[in-house]
Amino acid sequence: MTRARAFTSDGSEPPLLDVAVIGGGPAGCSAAIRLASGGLDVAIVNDASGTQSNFDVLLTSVSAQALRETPTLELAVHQAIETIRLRIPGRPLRTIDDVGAFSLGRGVLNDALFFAAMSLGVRLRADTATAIDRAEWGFEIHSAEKRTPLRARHLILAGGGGGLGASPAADGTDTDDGARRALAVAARCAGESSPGDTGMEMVFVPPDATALRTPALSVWAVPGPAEGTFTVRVAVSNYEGEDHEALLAHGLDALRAEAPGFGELRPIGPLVAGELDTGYSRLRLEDAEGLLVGDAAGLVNPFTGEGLSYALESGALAAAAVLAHRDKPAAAQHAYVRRIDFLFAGNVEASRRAVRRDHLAWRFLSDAAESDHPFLAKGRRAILLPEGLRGITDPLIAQLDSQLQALAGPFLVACDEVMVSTIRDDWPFLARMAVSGAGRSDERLRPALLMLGAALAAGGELDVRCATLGGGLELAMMGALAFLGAAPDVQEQRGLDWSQVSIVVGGDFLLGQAARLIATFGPTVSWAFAEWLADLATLRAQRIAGCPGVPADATSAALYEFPARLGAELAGADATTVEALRDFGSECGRAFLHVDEVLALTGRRTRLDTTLEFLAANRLATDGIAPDEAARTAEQVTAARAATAQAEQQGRAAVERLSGSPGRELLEAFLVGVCGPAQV
Amino acid sequence: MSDATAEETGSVAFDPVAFAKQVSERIRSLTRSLGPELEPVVAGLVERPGKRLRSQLVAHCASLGEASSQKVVRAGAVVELLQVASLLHDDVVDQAETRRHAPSAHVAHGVESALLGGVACFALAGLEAAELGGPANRVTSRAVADLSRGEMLDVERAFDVELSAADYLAVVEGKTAPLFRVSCELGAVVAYLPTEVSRAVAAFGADLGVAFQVLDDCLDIEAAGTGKPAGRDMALGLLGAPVLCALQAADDRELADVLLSPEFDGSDMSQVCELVERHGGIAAARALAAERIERALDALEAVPAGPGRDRLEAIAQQLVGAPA
Repeated sequence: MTRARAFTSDGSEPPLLDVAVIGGGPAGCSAAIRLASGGLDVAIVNDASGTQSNFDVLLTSVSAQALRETPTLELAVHQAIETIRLRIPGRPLRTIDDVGAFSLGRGVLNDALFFAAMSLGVRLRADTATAIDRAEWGFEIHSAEKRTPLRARHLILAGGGGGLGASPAADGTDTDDGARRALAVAARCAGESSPGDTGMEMVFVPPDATALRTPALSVWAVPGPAEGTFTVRVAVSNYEGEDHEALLAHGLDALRAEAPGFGELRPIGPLVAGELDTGYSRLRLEDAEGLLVGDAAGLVNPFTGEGLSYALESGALAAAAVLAHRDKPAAAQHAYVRRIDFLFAGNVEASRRAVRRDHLAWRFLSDAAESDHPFLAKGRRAILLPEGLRGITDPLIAQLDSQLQALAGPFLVACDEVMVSTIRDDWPFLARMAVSGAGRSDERLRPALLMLGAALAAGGELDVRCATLGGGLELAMMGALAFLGAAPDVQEQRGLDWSQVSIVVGGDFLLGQAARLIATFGPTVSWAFAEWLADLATLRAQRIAGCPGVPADATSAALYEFPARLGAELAGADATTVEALRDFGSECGRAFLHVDEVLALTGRRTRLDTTLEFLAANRLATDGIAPDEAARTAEQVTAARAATAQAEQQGRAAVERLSGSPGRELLEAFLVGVCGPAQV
Repeated sequence: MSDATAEETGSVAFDPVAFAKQVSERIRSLTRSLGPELEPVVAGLVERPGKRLRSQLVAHCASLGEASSQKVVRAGAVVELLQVASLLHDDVVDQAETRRHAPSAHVAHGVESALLGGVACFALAGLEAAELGGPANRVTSRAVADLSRGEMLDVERAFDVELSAADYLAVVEGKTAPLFRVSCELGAVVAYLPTEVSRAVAAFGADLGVAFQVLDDCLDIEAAGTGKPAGRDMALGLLGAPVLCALQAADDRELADVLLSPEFDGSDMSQVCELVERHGGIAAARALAAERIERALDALEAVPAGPGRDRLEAIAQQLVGAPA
């Protein structure tokens, strides 16, 4: 076993470390590991007195990926989590697939990270930090036991939670809404019966429809690596009580009431409790002495109370910022704050408006539970599983040659920045939805990439406007998606029906912002944008009415025709080229629908995040595709595959009509990306 | 053609009936392209127009300069189409069963079709604005973006009984004012008005829009019990200016408790009306509106005197003078 490196003890001036990390939890270790592998001299200041209870924690697909990429980390035994069963009293069960998460013991995870850090040469000061002095050269960290302070150029503050996102004390960064309190308790439990699969339970008890500050409860039951055990974790917001045992009992009751098979569940491990700090704000990070990571930054999902994935990720991002600005602590902090504020847009935020928005999101979760509408299903995932922070670039890009990669990669990142900065202040959850990948097997199809390919194939060049219009385009496509298919009426309580409202208001908002971006940065394509939208609405209305000659894939063809056309118009292409590109886009759209049919028919997660039932009931699927499982036939799958192949072939033919240029390669890669999943 | 020439010089008295007819015809010619499936969804609101206040603002502002009557009509069509689009969508959000004395579009044609009708009207307004040229396109797209944001702010604050009057006015500046402002801006654009006059009428329009909404909220309370489904918004938690003013003035929670009660469905408004009255909600809201009208009129001082300005002033004054 590796031993921690010691500090000089001969009384000489202590060395100037590159980085001091206060806090040896997941966030701190995640940062330290990356810093040490980047060649920096790092020390962790950690008070080892804290006892660790080995309850199980959930690692989302993003965290799981982050851990796989962590140097020298040996992952201990863990349990795969593939599905989440979302249960809201009085609402139908919602199953979220393709989760790609896993669970493991909190202590096991901590130890693995800690020893990975030590094996990379990270120093350890087993002591409690008591004061920090800022000096010209960096920071001086005083601690309780050691007389010599620690000196470091950079400082990372990871002294947040006690395993639950628990924040020991407010640090003067209270927001104007100090009254919001959130609490979490957890304990490992066991029972006689258990579902025994790779699914976890999530029970939500939303706040009152008419009152903004009533308690909202979320209960998880995460199966652990040990057979028949579950860690039950209860998080509550706007809570006034103090009794942790009572809160756990309350959560267990809610679980038993909603989820079958948990009747006998009882705690077998000690109860862990702590206050949840969901008070992230950009200001808080900017004002901090050093880089705040994890729970210390208030990075906790207010709905699920989940903070571990944020901890791992923010630690990694802090390390990346320091590595990029080794000699400039201020620049590192600035870069870190910018990045984190971008990536965590809308997950966590503290303000008066946030109270209203949290309430709104709770109502959304509850009301929209009735529906498989793609817009609502994607919204649900974006709130519960803010994944995909790493999935920002498209896997398609990996298949391109290096020259195109260098072009397309930064372009897509710039598109994301445009999208997020356009909508995040007003509707952060939409921002999350806009840039979120959607799970492990997600291949985020980027319409902006189609636009770029079309522009290049038409002989255009990539200029600054392109990313702005690419961002606008993707907002528009997402907005259009909101209006395809109906949400069910839900009217049981007073107030707005949030499934309906989210569709209308969210869709309008996205289309409105897109219209403005386009009118500002591409006025010459404003007309085309408006025409596209009118055509799309008309086609869809014809489809709903069952007009002959309007097949299901006409709408999806119209949807994807636009990015190609936009690229062509931006490049000022001639009529023949515009025609070829529009055909290409239409074929991509046809293929998109038929691939989703294949995915749905073969029981896989669709790109629209919806079900065959929804597609068929809303006439979004090809006629003859039966919504009920019993009527599904192998012929239907074959037909959907054949339709995909036909669209792919016609798409290729459209590319052949274009003159040779690097854009063609991009378009071909896009088409392959669209059609790929149908072959499996 | 002689009419058009006379109109260009602004020397002929404005004929609101003829203008409204021209705007309707223009809108019809646009919505026809939506085909037999979608056109009927939007036709109801086109054929049963409201007061056409917004397109009149276009015409009055355009009359401050020289504009081709065709362009004024098209600009009028833009704002009326946007109004139709937002009514179609609002009625779904507010679950309104009727609109202008007929079943609302989502009741008659289904929710998805009504929403598509709204999207289509929004798109047609965009087409028309794009054809009017760069500046018209820019102000229209900005209004559309602001409106959609205002729509969101409006629903987001549902059941917030602590919303201050100032915060509420900010919501109204988002949800109602942009369409009034862009009506004036489009009038200014098509008539090539100088920048300072354009700015003045835009400011006028924005304040007028806020006053319009606040007064509309007052009418909702005052008309309660007369058969108008006034309590609808309140049942949804969307509290108007008089209620919010009363809530702020009240030193007890009686009104808040009524409004937040799970049983409150807006059918019996007597208690709400009484409490709003007791806490001077209507008077306070009317004072807010009067303040905005005052500001709107002040903004017009930068506009050259003449029949156009007179008509704008008259609209503002009629609004506050409107009988309760």
